[in-house]
Amino acid sequence: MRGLGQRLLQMLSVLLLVAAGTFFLLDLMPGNPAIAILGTSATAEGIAKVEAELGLDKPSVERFWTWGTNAIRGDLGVSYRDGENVASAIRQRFPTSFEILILTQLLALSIAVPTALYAASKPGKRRDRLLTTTSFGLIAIPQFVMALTLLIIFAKQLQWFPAADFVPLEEGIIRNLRSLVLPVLSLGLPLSGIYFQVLRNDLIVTMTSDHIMRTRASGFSERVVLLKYALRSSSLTLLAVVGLNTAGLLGGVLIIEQIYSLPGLGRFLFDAATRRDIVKVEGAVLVIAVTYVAVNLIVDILLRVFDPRVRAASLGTSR
Amino acid sequence: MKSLRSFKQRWGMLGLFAIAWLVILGVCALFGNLFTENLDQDLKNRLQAPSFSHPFGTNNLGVDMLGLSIKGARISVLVGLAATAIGFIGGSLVGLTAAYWRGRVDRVILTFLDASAAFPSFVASISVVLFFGKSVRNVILVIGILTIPVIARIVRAASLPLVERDFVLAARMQGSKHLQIILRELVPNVIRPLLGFAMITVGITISVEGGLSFIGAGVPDNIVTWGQLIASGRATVQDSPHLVLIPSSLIFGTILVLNTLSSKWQRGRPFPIVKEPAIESVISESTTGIGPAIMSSDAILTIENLHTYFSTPFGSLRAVDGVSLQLRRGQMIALVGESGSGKTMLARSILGLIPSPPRVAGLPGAVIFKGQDLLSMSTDDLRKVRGRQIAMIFQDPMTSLNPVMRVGRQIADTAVLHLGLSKKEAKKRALELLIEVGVPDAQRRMRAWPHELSGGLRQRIGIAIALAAEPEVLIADEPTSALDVTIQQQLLDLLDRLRHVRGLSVLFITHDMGIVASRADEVAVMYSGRIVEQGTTHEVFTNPRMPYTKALLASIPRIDQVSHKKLAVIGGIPPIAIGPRIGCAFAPRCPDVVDRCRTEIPLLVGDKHKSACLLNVVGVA
Ligand code: SF4
Repeated sequence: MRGLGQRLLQMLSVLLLVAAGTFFLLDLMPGNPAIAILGTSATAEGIAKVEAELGLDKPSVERFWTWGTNAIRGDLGVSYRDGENVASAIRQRFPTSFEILILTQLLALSIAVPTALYAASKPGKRRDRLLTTTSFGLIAIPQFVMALTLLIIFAKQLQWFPAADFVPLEEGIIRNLRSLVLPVLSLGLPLSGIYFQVLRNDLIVTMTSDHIMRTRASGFSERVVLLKYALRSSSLTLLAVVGLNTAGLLGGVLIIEQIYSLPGLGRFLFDAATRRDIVKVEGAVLVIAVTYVAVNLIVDILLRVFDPRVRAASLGTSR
Repeated sequence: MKSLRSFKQRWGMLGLFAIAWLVILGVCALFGNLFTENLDQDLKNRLQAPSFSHPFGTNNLGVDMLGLSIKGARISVLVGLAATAIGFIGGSLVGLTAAYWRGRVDRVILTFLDASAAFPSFVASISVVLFFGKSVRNVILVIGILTIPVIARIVRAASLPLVERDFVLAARMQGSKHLQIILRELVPNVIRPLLGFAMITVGITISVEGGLSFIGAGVPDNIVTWGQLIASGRATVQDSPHLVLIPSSLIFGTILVLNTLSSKWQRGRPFPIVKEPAIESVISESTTGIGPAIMSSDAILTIENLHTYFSTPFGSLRAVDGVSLQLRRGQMIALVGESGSGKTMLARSILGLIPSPPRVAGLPGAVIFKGQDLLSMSTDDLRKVRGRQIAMIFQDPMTSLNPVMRVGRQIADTAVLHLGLSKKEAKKRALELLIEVGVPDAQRRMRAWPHELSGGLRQRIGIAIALAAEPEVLIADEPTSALDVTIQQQLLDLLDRLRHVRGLSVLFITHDMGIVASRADEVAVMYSGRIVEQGTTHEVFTNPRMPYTKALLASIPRIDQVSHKKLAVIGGIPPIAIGPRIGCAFAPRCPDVVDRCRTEIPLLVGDKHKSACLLNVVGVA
């Protein structure tokens, strides 16, 4: 699998780029952590002493090296601000974010796949036009609008679901899921619109391809043609899109986390960034990037296993 | 009034609504500040629900929400447009650079783009705004920069295929400057889809601004935007949901409107609507003189006066225009014609593989197979004929096999469907078939993917699939024209052998007169949807009557010729059969054309050897 090796290399350079980019950008920002720790009344000697303790007097490349090698061992350092161990702080937040990521993808897919199949079975007919218009509507709703609307209707007016008390998984799966219904809906519904369009469009193109024509000429029913032959290749396109949505769902759902008071990575990152807690920001960005890379690597491997075309392309050409 | 109607035709109801929305939005953004500069607070009328005097209600300070919404439009739209502009300029530069120089440049840029996707950019932009201070300028810059990688990806993907096209390569050869090539050859070709995407991007950036303001990292508090309105309405959402819902719907509506317009824009300008020609009259004309085909006892497939028209915006396209043909048991008929003559559509019509629409329904014609008309059968019954009794082999073995299925499975599936075999039996049968069609190392090839096989092998697989359910009739649609000459001969030999061993009847479709000479019993020449000459192979080859047939015969490369160049090239292209049929379709290209040819339609006449040419009528009749 030469193609896979190349892909791995590319993924590693992505990681390095994100990590280094964040590190040096933050380094350029004004604001001395030592002053932040000691307060503005600190003496020059005091600052120098703290800087030496933290290793801040060393050149930034050297510090990046130290930080990076520690990170590989799972040590993301200690916050200059509150002395918290960053790795363990992220470990507390990560499961919630990851749970939301998985649930959202599942919801979006379980809405998108059957509806896309239904629409693609009669392209251009009423069902297709209706569903396509609906998907346009779903995509057009900004996350925070969706979240607020759902909150107003289901939490405030109808009071079916809690508005803003998150229950961690350890305290019972039912209550945990109940507290996640609205956030996951807010994220998953717009996403399902996107997945619907990706799958529907791909299915309709596939259904006009030669090999589908051949399948029809062999006497298979439209149902079998769609569900067995067309879906097989179109679902692979969808899979690739699903993988690309990972980073956004993990670290970019700050608004949802705020509205529903969820202790996720987005808020962690936001709090750290607003308080200029450099070590925490670096750690969170790294964890998000690693997850993104890992998920996309899995998607890549799945595509290689199930889609011989990808395998052929990656073996045959330089890319 | 008329212009309004044509406008509506172009954009549809939804499109009209969208345009109206944008016009109002534009007016509000440009001139709204003239009358919303001093919106009064009215503490007695706080948090009022929408009413007659305040259509959108009032906020927590008693300010009219309609006024605020109009005022907010200005900055929201400004941010949307400016940020999109930044994103597009930056993104186009990056994307075009990657696509044009490719290679290492492309790889480096791609890695950066990947990295940006792995980076939680929304949170990052919040911190940047907070760090450099909340201002409209900073918000625009941050959102614009955030948009660059997205646009860059799209520009790159859109221009990559163009870069390898002839006109760009030619410009490069001539030594044009890079910048010139990019500006003159690439940009005009990608601009249209990009403009469509730009509309969507404006919507997205407006919503991102809303998100930033909502989090408290948007524009300064004293500047009104829709996002800001939502954020400040949040505190009182319990009792006055309208404060949140109204600006929310404004953002939602704007995005929806932009997306709708964009999708209409990208679908392109609809065709001008041309009135349908009177099909009836055309048909009655074309049926005269042919008469119902004589049913002979050993006919297995009889095509009678078959019509396949497609409805297009310009009128009906006559792909098959009254074709009659009879295939007898064990016989092989070669249907010859250049591409566009309608021969493939004829083949697909036989098995009802062309859906209507676009196929025009209700036209005359019948396809009689064993006494039953396939065209009037239910789809369920028709499916029992497809593959089971009449099977097809397709032209391009590259695309006609399912790329994500192992070939053994594809053969076995058909056997399972029609013969009711178990999976295991079907597999065994697939293996036997592979051996029969001459696939070497068949056991191993069962598990091969289509892309792992050569073109010739793939077509053998295609033949195996066609044979899987023991059909009696084989329709082969240019099965060998995508392959090189040696492989072609091998496959033709295989088809010959199968035909004799299995007693198959074959309708062999090709554009190449040469390859049918020694194999087909009968030849039918098709031109512009009709059969123009038909007879035994020997008759047609030795005594061609119609000028088109003569030209086809003359274009066969002869073995004794040193060069294999085509000898007589027929100039011109086949006509597009839209509109009423006037005169002989071949007239524009015919070397023997006389005046009558342009007004009179030649009919297919003759007994055993039929032809459709005005010059022959006298001699034959
Ligand atoms: S009818 Fe006239 S134009 Fe047509 S083939 Fe005969 S000579 Fe040529």
